[in-house]
Amino acid sequence: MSFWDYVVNLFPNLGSLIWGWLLSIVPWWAAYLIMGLVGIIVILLFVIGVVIVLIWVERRGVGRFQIRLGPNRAGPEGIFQPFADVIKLFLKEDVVPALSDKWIHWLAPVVVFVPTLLAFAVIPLQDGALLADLNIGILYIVAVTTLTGIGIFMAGWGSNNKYSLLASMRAVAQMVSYEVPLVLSLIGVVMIAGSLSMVSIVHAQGLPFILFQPLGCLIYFISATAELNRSPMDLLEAESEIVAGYNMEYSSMKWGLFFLGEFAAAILVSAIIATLFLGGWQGPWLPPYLWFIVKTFIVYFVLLWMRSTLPRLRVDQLMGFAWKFLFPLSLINIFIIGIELILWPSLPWPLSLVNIGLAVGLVIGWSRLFKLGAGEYREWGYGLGIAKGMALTFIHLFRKPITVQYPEQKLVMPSRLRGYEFGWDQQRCTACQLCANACPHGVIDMTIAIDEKRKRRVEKLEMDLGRCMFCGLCIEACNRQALTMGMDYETATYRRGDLIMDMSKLSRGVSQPSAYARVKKAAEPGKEGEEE
Amino acid sequence: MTDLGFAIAFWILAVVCVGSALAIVLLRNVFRAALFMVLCFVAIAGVFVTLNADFLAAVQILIYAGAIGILLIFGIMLTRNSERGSPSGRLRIPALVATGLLLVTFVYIALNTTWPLSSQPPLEQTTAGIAEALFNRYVLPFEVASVLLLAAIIGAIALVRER
Amino acid sequence: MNIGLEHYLILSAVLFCIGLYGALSKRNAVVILMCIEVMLNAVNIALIAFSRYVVPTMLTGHIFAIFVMTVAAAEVAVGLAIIFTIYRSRQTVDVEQIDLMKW
Repeated sequence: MSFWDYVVNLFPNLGSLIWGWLLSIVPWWAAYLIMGLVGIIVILLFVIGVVIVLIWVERRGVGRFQIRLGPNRAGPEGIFQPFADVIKLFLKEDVVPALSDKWIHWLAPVVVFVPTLLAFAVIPLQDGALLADLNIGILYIVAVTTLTGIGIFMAGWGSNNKYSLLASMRAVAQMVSYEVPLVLSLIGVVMIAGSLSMVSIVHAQGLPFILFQPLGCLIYFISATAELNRSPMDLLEAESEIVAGYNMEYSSMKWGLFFLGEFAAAILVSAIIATLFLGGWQGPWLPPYLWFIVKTFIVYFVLLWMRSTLPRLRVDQLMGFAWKFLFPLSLINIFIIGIELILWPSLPWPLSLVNIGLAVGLVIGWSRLFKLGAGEYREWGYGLGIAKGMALTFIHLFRKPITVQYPEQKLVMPSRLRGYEFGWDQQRCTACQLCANACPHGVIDMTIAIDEKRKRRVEKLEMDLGRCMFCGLCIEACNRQALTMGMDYETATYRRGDLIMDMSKLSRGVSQPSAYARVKKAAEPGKEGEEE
Repeated sequence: MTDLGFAIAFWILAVVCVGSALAIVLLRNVFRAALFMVLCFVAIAGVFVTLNADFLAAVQILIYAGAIGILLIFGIMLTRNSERGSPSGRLRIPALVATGLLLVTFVYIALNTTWPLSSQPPLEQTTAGIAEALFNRYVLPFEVASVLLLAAIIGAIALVRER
Repeated sequence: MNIGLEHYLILSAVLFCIGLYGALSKRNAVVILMCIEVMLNAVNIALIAFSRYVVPTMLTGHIFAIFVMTVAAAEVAVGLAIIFTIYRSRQTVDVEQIDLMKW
């Protein structure tokens, strides 16, 4: 075989190599078991590896969508940030509530995470590269992902906390409501492909199914976002709502396992959309598994994009959306594709245009008919607001981030800033004590001496910056512009005593006079031009 | 060898099924009993897989563990009485005697009847066969089942609606 | 050992009797519903075992099992609705205290 053939068939070849080696040393049934274990370990490593990459992608990506840099300190461009997060989670103390049910509290993260891993067994990286090509592939995935609802209940119950219980019941209600449009939107794909097996569905895609089932893909995408508890439906795990929900009482690696489960489920959903709607591993000149990974990342990118753009839905808007909008539309989708399959069984490509037009028409028309929620509606612009918002965040990706990387770059203070430090010009000061009298707090401690020629001079001048509120009244009181304020903000000290500025410190002046400085305009000798 | 693997799978699943069913009946903590019920359902799905009923195994997990299990746990959470338990009633001993007799009868019938076993191998893909049977021969019960579900939905909503 | 029809039938019988004992002797109404579900599952096992060993190509048992699952789901929904209604008015789900119509 040529080198290219070997690269393309990497996984099936590796599989048969290991199988042959195992058969030569152990009997048949042990080889079968060990092969299964090898497959499980490969899936586990794949999931954990992709999650670690995705944590980085998510934090940097969400930052760039918001015109800021993400974390970039832990390693070059922050690539060790996920490892830092994981190490931090391992080292935290594992707090278990005292009166909770210990077994249930301990098992809940497991029951939330394991079904997602189970569903990875039927995701095809390539034609021969999946753990088990079940002939009920999609049904198996849907069935297994409903088991996470039980885990969420266990998490809420095992926390022995009313609010966790409430949050877990709301989370399960959301999951169960969105399961119905999720399953129904997949039926259209199954009808066109004629099989439930994932590999057969990919083989049946001459044109990607997103062209024939745009409404199905949209409904599946939205329902899966709600199943994953991701924005814009992340009401139940946002920190400002019922304080982080059912995983409130979980710390350390148990919380990490919930977090890991959510990321793994996000990859699962992206992989399913890539397989069912985007054509799986088919593509021109890359090896098939790379195409699969590219398509999964594209779908994950769209998930990330949606997360950075859309505001959170309220819980009644959430439920109304599922039952009154997505569920009827998915039924109508099945109806349409059924009629098309009867009349034109081979599905010629113009039907994709018909389907896209019908999808757009249905979404706009249905949302006009059933006004969910209160508010003014424009005449026909449904979806325009979302499209404009998402276009804006997409443009943000290409803008320069506004983050100031603090120790290396300094902040540029606004020009109208009054200032945080003081400077005193001894030559201009006439020791009139107007500044000390003007200060509302008694910050300025001035002692003067009058010498024999009746000339006043300052003997001791101390400003207690710890009590100063930088109101600038002292600057305004001095008619000789002897006091100035500066824009330096790094004036913190380790002891309070060091905040008291004496004459030597004040005489050093300020490096960057602020707008309250009242300095001379262009340091020309003899000129008395002033800047107000 | 496949027979041995089959036998191991069946015995493990059977022990898990019976054990979790006993746990439902014998545990006092209602929530744990519900969790053992979900385990029982998943083990029964495994038994279906050993019987070559792949479609039904997935549907068992989807409907029983995923939906009915969640529904029953909702029911437990919303009807918690103060003692928070599932005690046994007055009819314990008569129930034990009656079910014991019934079990003995069942086992005797199962072991002593000559069942007309067929030597054909089971179908590999049951989904297509079920679909064909459901929509050709049994389409009338199918439609009646949909009316039944509609009646159940309307009934449940009407019962718990706030006046 | 060869797993035959008798093994599945005895498993089904054991599960059915455990469920029946629970349904007869428990006092919490939700637990009684759970035991009824166990009984229905036991019946499903028996149906599918018969279908696989007696008429493997006809799948009659599978269809019957699907209908049993449908009816079980509907029954759980309505049963829980009834339990909630009773709980709302009497604050208890103990079936030995819901005896207004007993003689």
